[in-house]
Amino acid sequence: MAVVDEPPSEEMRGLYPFLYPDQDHLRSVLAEAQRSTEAKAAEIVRLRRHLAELDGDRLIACAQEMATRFAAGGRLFTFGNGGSSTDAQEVATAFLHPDPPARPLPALALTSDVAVVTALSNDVGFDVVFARQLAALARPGDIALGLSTSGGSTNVVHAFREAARLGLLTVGLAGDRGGRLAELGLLDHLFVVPSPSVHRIQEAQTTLYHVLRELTQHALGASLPA
Amino acid sequence: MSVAATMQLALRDAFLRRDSPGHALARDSTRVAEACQAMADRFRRGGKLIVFGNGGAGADAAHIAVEFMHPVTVGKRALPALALSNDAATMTAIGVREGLAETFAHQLAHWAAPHDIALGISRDGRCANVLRGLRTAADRGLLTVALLGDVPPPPQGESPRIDADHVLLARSTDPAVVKEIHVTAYHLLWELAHLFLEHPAAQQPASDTQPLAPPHTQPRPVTAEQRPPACDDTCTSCTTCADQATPATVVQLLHGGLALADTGTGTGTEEISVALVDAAVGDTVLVHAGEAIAVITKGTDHGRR
Repeated sequence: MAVVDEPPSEEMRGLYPFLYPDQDHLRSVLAEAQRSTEAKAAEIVRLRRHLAELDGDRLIACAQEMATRFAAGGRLFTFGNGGSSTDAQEVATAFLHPDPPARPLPALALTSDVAVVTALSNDVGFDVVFARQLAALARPGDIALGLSTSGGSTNVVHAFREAARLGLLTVGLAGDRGGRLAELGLLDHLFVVPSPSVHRIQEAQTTLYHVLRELTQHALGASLPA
Repeated sequence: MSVAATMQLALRDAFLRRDSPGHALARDSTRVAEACQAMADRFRRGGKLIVFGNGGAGADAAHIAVEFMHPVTVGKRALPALALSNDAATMTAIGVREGLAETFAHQLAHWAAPHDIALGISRDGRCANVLRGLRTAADRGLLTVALLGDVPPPPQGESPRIDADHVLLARSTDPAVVKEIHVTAYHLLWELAHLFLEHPAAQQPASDTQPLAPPHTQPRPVTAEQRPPACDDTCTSCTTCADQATPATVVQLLHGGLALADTGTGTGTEEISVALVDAAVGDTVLVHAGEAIAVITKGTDHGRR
């Protein structure tokens, strides 16, 4: 196709409208996309600062209790659904295989073994996928960390009931107003991200568990990252 | 200094470290928007999103795939996506025979089509298998997007070549902070890819060589009334923040597992998929992301499926 420098004629535009999209419209959508990016980036920065004020002292207390458990031989079990299941895996990997000089600590995500998850879901029910694994694997002195953006995931609630029954340290990350995890009243530590957005909640929870991990390592005597 | 005091210092340091990279993402808004426009163009042509990374970034790959496949927002259609790091059997099989560097390139070579999107994640920008994956994808004509971090190269090391059409850089040297910026970045990739898909005029000029999308992947036209309101700082019920399914009454069954349904919002009927349920005309179904996931009540008018 020859390169034509002149603007297309009306006739040409009429014949091939798809070749000449509305440039003004395109610019306005691009501008809307940029505005949304800037608004969301500013929103999560504000939310993180708010959490530092809201939860700072409680994060320190939680990290110190987790460090005490690890020092005494405790292990960490993590769980969540959907996007939160990937956070559970991230937490387990971050504790088990951290960047030096942090100390590797025993941690396992209960979402990773597809055979176990599908077997329990198929034979018993999805509500017990985490609780049954804790019943088999956990012992008093361990730590259970569950994530739910709504705070309402039934299998996460069941897992915490089982964990509390077994004597684990229970750490919950929820969002909005905390949902059923807040109503349960049996968690040792519950961090609720006060946002109506699932996305901002997930982003803020990522910060919360990273800070928890860093403070736990600090409490265990490892040096901070540069 | 007491333990309590050093813990307070560590806490303050940890949160402060996140401020500047968070603001930097806002300054990259043009790059983000351009990447989303290009991704929407590939989805419009029937392309799928293929995501890959190692360690925690592998978990991000899975998060991105589920974000596109099962949107949290009602009315957003599922877009095809898969993560290459989920299958431990495949990953270890390739790793043990061809080496870890080939784990993503091999899967891309056998899974990818030229109109797909390859999204590679590497927090230090040096993961050999992610870079090999991006190169293989670029060679095959895929749109390539890289989510990287600002971790400096080792003293004697060279910065590797990145084969990507769009590079989004989290401006932090701390891998944990890089991940947090990446999570916001990929939530935006999802949200804005849909924004561009919902504006039919916002597409790049067509060429006569591009493949046609199969009917079920064609974007539905969205009228101004149906378009979700833009989210701003004061928005408390943002359309990207809701996670619920809504009931709708099946009005007419269409070919290919589709149906017209009345959502009762007064905006007329909407095309939904009823491929997963045994729905008939008159039935009330529960709809999530354009997909009927359950029949709530059976109607009296039993139309042809």
